Amino acid sequence: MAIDRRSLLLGLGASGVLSVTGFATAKSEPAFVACYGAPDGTFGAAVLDEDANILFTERLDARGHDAAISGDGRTAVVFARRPGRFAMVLDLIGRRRLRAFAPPENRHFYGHGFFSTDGRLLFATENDFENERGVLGVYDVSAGYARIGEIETGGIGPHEAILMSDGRTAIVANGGIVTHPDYPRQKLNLATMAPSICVIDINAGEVLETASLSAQFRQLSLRHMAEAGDGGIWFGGQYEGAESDHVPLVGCFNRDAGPVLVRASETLYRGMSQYIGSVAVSLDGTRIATTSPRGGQVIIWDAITREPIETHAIPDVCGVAPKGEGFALSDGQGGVHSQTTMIDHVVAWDNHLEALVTSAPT
Amino acid sequence: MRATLTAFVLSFAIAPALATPDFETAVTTVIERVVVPAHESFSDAATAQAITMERLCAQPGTGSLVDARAAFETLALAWSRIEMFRFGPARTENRFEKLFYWPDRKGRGLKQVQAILATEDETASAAKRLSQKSVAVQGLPALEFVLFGTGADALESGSTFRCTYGQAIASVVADNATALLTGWTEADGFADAMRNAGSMESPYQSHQEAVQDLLRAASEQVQIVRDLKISASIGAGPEKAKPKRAPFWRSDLTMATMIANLDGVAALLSGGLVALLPEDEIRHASALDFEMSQARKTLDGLKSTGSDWTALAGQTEGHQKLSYTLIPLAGAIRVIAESFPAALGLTLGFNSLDGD
Repeated sequence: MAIDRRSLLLGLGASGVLSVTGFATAKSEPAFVACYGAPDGTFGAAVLDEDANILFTERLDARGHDAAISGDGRTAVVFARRPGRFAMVLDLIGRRRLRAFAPPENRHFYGHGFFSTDGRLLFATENDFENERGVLGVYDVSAGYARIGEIETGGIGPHEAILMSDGRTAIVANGGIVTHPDYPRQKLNLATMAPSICVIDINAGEVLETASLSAQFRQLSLRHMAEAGDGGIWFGGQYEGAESDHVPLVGCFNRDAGPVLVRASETLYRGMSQYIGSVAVSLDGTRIATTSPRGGQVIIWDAITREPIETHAIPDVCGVAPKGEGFALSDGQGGVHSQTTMIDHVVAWDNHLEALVTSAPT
Repeated sequence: MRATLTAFVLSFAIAPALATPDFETAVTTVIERVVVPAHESFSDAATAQAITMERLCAQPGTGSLVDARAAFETLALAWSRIEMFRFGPARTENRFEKLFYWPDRKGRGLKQVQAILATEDETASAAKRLSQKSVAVQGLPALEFVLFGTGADALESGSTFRCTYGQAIASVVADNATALLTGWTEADGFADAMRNAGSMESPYQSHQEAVQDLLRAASEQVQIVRDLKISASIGAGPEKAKPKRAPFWRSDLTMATMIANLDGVAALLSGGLVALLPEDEIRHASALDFEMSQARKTLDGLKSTGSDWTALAGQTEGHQKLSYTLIPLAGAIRVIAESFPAALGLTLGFNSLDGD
């Protein structure tokens, strides 16, 4: 029989998250944050150095999703995977867990969020599930992450939210799908779903604009985004319509042109199995990486010409973050890949890999 | 001695090659033996339902209402055997939601059905226009309300609009059932897409991927029975039970349709997927049999008491037994979602199965 790495490790009763290549030396600096599933069925968050060595880990009560990292690189907040209700604050310098907090009883996290540029506020995408309304929860960092308010996201199922480089405009991808914790992870409105991209002025707490794709793409749930160097918001979608439909999965949004899907060959999109799991921008802002764990594929796009420039095949790949001149990629079998590194850990890396420096240099 | 040793080494070396699972055969077999026949049964049941509804409207009476309700039972059971196939033709034109709008949170679908009946909405009285309306008013839950919900007994004495609406629903259901079946069986349909995995026309890159989808469908269905139909309905104790969250309680087919869901999963696995397991991994098939039969035995026992679903969930003994089924069902999910893929060398897909 074929034995995959995980079942082999399970069979040997391995536990914990010791890296195959060992822990990094104390000198190395934090560079990435990612959640993981461990072979013993537990979950955690890990902080990695530039070479993808694990600097430290913290156990999570349940599966995590993405992390928000403060602009000074000192703090990360790891969010629960939906419909989870925990957020854990990590001190990246002291290499320890600082605290955990939760949204109000009638909200749950969607797994994404961001810090304000000054690091004083944290914004998290949340589900007001009784009212089927998406919100950005606003948390006051200095008050121990007390929740001081919320902003409507103008749609259902807000997933990733990012702060643009102007430090004031937030972009939220409303996936459009109704879910409720009473029916864990069931999609309750596929026939009527209405995804959108929402532009929010976080200082004023106001929705500036909500934009949608044409009706033909109503079942393309918009989920993940990254801002290119020219200010274009690249997004990746997950298609809920027929498998036989050939639908572009990647697009670019700016406030003048609205959301525009990026055309590419049918073959290229076919390799993504109608599902983009993560989107990231290179440090110089000129390239966009989109990953598909279902297709086991990565496409890297030129942000200016909007042409695909590279593809990579990596089974169960999803996490992606800028690294050097390119990208680091993580997969569900423990691999972290980049131009200079290929390292295996004894964990399943979760959907997102977040870099400490994410914005293009200005 | 040397000859024996060589033979041993050879057989050891060859064994893994022989044990490579034949995913292509498994996919083909499962489609022929399970998927297509189950869709044929559903399509036949839908046609029969449409005929009984026509008769009920033409000749209202106790006998024709009994027949229409009996046809609904056959239809709901046939549906429950294919409910797990939420991909492929079921995803085209929202056919899954059109046939089975459930869960109906906040009773939105129900309110729409009730509004149609209250206002005698003419746009819902013919199949063509009904099929353009909300997915919630044209499928099995809507038909169940017409046949078994408040006011349904009036059908016996000729409730004209209610019957006409019911007839239109049955006709739309029959159309969608045919479309599902055709979607599988037509040339270049979904059966071909699975069989021809790896070709340019197929959404599947390999037959392994197709098998993975089938396993995922199976484990998701057991999970839906366990978490959404049983656990969410019975709550933490008899006094916390919300049995009306489960589907088909009006027709008292909740238990029977859940059993049909599990039988559908068992048929899918025994119809070709279990055969993929290498000999030294065959224990997973026994483990699955054990878990599924434990759950089924308990559900069968409860069903044979004759108590209806809403009463069972609120009684101490019924609640205890339903709570017990959660254990073997969790075991079955583990076998299908973890042991089988590991034994078959399929990627576990921590991210690809995530759906975020």
